[in-house]
Amino acid sequence: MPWGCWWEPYSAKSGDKHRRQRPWREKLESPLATLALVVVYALGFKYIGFYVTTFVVTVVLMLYMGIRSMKTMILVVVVLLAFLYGLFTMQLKVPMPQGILF
Amino acid sequence: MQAIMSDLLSLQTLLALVAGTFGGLVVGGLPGLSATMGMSLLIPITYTMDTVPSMVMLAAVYCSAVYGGSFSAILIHTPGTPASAATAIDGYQLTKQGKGLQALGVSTTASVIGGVVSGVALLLIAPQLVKVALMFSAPEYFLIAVFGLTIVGGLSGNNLLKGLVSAGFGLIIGMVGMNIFPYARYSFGNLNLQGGIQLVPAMIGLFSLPQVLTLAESRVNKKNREEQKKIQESIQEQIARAGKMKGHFWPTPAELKPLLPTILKASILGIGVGILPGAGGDIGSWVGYNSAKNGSKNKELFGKGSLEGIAGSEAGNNAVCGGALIPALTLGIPGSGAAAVFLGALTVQGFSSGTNLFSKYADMTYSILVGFIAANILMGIMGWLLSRYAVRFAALPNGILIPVITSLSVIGSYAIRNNVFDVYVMLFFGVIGYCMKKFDFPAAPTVLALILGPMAERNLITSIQMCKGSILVYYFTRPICVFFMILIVVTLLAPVIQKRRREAV
Repeated sequence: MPWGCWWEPYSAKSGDKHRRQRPWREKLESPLATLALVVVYALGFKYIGFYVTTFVVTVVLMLYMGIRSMKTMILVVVVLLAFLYGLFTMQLKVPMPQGILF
Repeated sequence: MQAIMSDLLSLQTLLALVAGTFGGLVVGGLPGLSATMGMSLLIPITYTMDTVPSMVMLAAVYCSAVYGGSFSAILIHTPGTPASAATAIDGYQLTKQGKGLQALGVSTTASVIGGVVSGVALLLIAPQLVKVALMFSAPEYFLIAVFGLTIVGGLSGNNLLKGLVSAGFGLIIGMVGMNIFPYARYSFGNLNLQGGIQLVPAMIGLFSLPQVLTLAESRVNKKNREEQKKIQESIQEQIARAGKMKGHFWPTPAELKPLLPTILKASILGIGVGILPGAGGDIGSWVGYNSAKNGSKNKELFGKGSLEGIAGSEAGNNAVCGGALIPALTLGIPGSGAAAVFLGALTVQGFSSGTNLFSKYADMTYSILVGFIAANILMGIMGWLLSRYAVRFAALPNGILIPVITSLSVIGSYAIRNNVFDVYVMLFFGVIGYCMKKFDFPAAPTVLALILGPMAERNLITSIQMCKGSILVYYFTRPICVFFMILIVVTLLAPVIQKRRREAV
């Protein structure tokens, strides 16, 4: 089982029934937090605006994943947004949801 | 011929070819990203382009991503794609011996030859198969789809049951909407579901989002900070070493001569593996590697740095690309997950596989096929030019990849129909895909069943309408139907018989 013995509820060594072994919790913490952000992104871009949501989610995801260099963050955000705007809005003429912002 | 050349040599096609090949090398070189994922993210970008450049671009991404995986496999012992796992065994040993550049050269040569041979096979076999397909009617297509589904479940993973469950899930999803009947099934009154589940958002969800969530697992936290730092330092060290590699890249004629039989044998086997639905580049590379090992005079070198091992594995996985497109373009049965995405892109462009592609739209189809061969040659040239630098892609932090793939997945799902509901579909399939990945259920059978399910149902209904009397008599009096029924029974029984034999021994 790839997530380990997550059905084993109690610590076999200590016998303490209140102390649960939860190896899956550590493994799933980051994917679940990332998924939560993606859900917020997918649900929110219609109401807030695609580019603003993309900007916020990109910065939050980078910070969450441990990127600390301001230069890298600015570069990634600018290149990504410019690429998406140039390709989808200008070239492919996809009408992006504007939302309350942009 | 003139029409094919003018299509191929147009500026848009040439740019698509170069961009696709480079993009494929980047996707392949990044451990964790696959050709299927790169292609599914590309569909929303290519759907507004003309058919030839868009399909050539996807074909270029397909073959060069499979090849690109060998860079990180050989130089840093991390396969860029699952198809390069076999290459990593001997490739990294050669790098440690200071022969990394030579290993890359053999990998490039074998990949190009494997890809070109499979492209030629595609050009020669597909039109002949279409002629056979002309004899097919609804009952035959129904049985082909059932045969495809049976073999998909069996070949797609180590566990037959998990493969079949995955395919069964795809079948259920394929029933949603009113694609066959005049009323909608399983739409729960939702207008967006009445047209059925859209293939492209489902594919993006199944192939991209699970990758994002898997990459997120390697997040740096307090506990693993030191460990992650050491891994990064080790990768940087290996990349720095790769930049100082010495020696020649392309194998000399004397070096190539003993490798050629291995490459050709692995290429033919790879084409065969590609034609079988559900068996992708990873199986092709292992089949090629094993055939190289079995036919080698220097078996003791395997695992310790054998050029033959690299040649067999790389020729095998790249030959799968062309092989997988043969049943996809002729019968509508994709040979691999990536071929399913290719077929999905063709559908988005408004074309369906089968005889029309090789008669009415023959110029377009042959342009795409010749473009596929050109992509295989260009990937070799680009690989040679980037040989010292391509491995640097592997050092790209997950913190950059995750937001980039996420935003491309969201905008890509939305842009196909400008419909926010498709983003929700992507999200749903992404969560399902991640759970499937964690519990070792292969995702490819779901996509293949999503394509084959409606095909089977449509043709079954048509054949019921066509038969006047007993449906069983109608099926059993058609020789091709009987042939496919025997094939289906054999495919279903083979694993059981094999298991009993093993137990008896």
